[in-house]
Amino acid sequence: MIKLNCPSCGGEINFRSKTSVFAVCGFCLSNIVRHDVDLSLLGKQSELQEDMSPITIGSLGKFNNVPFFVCGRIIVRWEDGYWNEWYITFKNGTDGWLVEAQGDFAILTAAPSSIQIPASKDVVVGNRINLGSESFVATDIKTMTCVGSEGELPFNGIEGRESVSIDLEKSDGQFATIEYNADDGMSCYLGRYISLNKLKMIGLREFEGWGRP
Amino acid sequence: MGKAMNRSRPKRSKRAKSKIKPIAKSFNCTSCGAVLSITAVGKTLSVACKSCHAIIDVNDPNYKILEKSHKASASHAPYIPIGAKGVFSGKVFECIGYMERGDGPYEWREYLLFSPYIGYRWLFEMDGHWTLLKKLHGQPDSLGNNTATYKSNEFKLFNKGTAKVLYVEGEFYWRVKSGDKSYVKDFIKPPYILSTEVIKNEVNWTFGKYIDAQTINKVFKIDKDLLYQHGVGANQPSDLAEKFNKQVKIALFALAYIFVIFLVRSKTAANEVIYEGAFQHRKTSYGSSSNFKRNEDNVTGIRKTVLTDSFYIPKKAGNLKISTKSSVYNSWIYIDALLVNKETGKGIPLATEVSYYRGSDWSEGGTSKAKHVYNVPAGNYYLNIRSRMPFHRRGYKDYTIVLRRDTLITSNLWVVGLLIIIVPFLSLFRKKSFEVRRWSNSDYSPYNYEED
Repeated sequence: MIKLNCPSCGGEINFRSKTSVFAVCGFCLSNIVRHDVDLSLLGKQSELQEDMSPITIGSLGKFNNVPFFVCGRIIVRWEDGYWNEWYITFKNGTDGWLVEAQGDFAILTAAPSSIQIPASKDVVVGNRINLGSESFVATDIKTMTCVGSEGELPFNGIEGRESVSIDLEKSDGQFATIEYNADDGMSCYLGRYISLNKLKMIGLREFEGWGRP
Repeated sequence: MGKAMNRSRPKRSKRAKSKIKPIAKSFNCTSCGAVLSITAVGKTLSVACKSCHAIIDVNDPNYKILEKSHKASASHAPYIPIGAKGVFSGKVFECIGYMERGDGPYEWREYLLFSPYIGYRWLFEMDGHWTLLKKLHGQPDSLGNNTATYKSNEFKLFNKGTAKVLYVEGEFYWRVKSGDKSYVKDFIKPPYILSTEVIKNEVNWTFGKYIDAQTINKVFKIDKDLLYQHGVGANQPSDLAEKFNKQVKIALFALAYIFVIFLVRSKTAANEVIYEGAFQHRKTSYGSSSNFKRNEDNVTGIRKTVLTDSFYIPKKAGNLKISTKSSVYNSWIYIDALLVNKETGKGIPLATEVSYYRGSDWSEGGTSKAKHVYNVPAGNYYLNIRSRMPFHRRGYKDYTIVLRRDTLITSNLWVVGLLIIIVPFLSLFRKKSFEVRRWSNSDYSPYNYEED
C-alpha cells in the first residue's frame, strides 16, 4: 500500500492496489491521478447521493476462498437507471469488480489476455459469443456514463466517463462483461452472479429496520 | 482476513459501524402533490402515486410524469400493503411495489419485495394461491416444445399468453406503465414454477416455489382473512402422490405378510375330518321327502330327519367346515343340517344348498358346497339332517356330508387382499382428480381434460 497526501487539501490518501491510478480524496472530493508517487489533480467530484447499497468502502469478503477488500466505487448511469461497480483488491494482489445492479451481485475479474475480445460492432444481443472455452449469450448492450466515484480506481473515474458495456451470461450463472472505452480501450471481465451471503461479506452497512446484513 | 487489511481500513468505513437510518427519498408527486417516498434509493426508477395514480420518473431531476393517471378504482387494495416488512429465509424484505396483471379472463397480482442485502423477490398471487419467485440468471438448460429443463428437472408447459399491466402502485426498478404487455410462459413442476417473460428483445426467467397463504399472513403480520382459494394452484404441491406411493408400499408389504401367514397356515392347518357320512334323499309318491342313512340295514322306518352318530369336537378346534356334495344336474338339493350338542341340546344351523344348472354354453353352481362356522364349544355332537329337493323330482339322490376342523380358509385371503388394495386405489383416484383439477386451468393438460 502506498500512502500519499492529497495535493489539494493534504489529507491522507491510500493506494491499496498497485494498479490503482486514480482516487477520490475522502476529505475534499478532489479527483487525484497517480503517476507512480506523483499525484495530480483532475477537478472535483460532486457529493455522492446516498443509495441503499449495503456495500461500502472497507467491506470485506471472500471469493473462491481468497479474501478481498472493497477499495473504490464507480456509479454509472444508463438510460434505464444506475448501477454500482465496486473495485476490489484480493489478498493475492489481483483485483476485480463487485458489480451491483438491479439488486443482483456479481464478481468479475479480468479475463486472461489470451482471450480474444470481439469488436463491439460484432456483438448482437441474443447471439452466442465465445470467450476462451466458454460460450456466452450476449444479453445486453448499453452505453454507460460515470456519474460519480469514490475511493481508488484502476482508471480515471471522473464524472462523464463514457463507455459501451456488453453483458454476457451463461445458464449456470457465469457472467462476463466487455467494456469499450475511448481512452482505456477494451477490456473483458469474467465471473459469476453470487449472493452477498456466499461472499461472506463483513463490514456491510446496516440500515435501521432491515435487520442484520 | 489479513490483519494488515483490517488495520488499514479507510476512515469512511466508519459509517458501517453505526446503523444508518433508511435513506428514504421523499418528494412531492408532480401530478397531485402527495408525498411520495422511495425505499430502494438508487435502484428504483419509477413510482406510482397511490393518490392520483400518476407514474413518476424518479431519476428525472424534475420528476417527470411518465403516465398521467391510469384508470383505477378503490377496489385496488393490495393484500400485502406497500411498506409492509416481512422476513423470508432470515432476511427482511419490504413490499415496495404492487402490480395487477391480466390475460383475458385471468387476472393475478404481483408484489415486488426488496432487501438491500438480497435484492428483489416477487410474490405472485392468483385465485388465492401464492408463489415466491426470484430472477434466474441466464436461461434453463434446455427448452423443448412443451417442456423446459432446469437443473436436471423437467418442467411442463402450463400456460402461455400475453400479460397486460392493469394497475400499479409503489416503486419499481424499471419504468412501469399500465397497459405494458409481455409475452409469458409458465412451466411447472409443483411446488416449483419456471416462468419466462419476453418484453421487446429482453428475455427474463424467474423461478418460484408455492407458498402457503397462512405463511404470507404470518410473515407480513397481516390480520386479514385469507383470500378465497379457488381450485388447485398451477404449482400447488400435493402430498397425494407421496401418500399414494406410501400406501402402495404398505399394501405390498401387507399382501406379502398375509401371503406368508397363508403359506404357514396351509402347512400347519390340521384339516382333520371329525365326521363323514353318506345319505340319500328319497322322495315318495306321497309328496313328502325323507332321508336315509345309506348302507343302513334298517331302512324300514321312513323318517323326515336323520340323526347321525355322535362325534367329538375338541377344545380349540379352530374353524369348522361343513362340505356337502351331491351330483345334482339342473336341480338343487337343500341340506338342512343342525349341529346339536349332546349335553346341552343347543343346535348350530349348518344349512347348505347344492345346486347345479347347465345349458349348451353356460353353467351355474356346482355339485358341492362348503360353509364355515366358528367358535363351536368343545363337546359331543351329532347332526340332525333334513333335505329337500324340487317337488317335481322323484326318486333318490345321494349326498355326502363331511365335517372338518381347523381348515384353511381361502376366501378370507381374498377379502383381506381386497381390503388392502382398496386404500391405495382410492388414493390413486384422489391423486388423479387433484391433477385433473390443476390442469383444468391449462391448455396443455396431459389428462385431455375438456370442458363441455
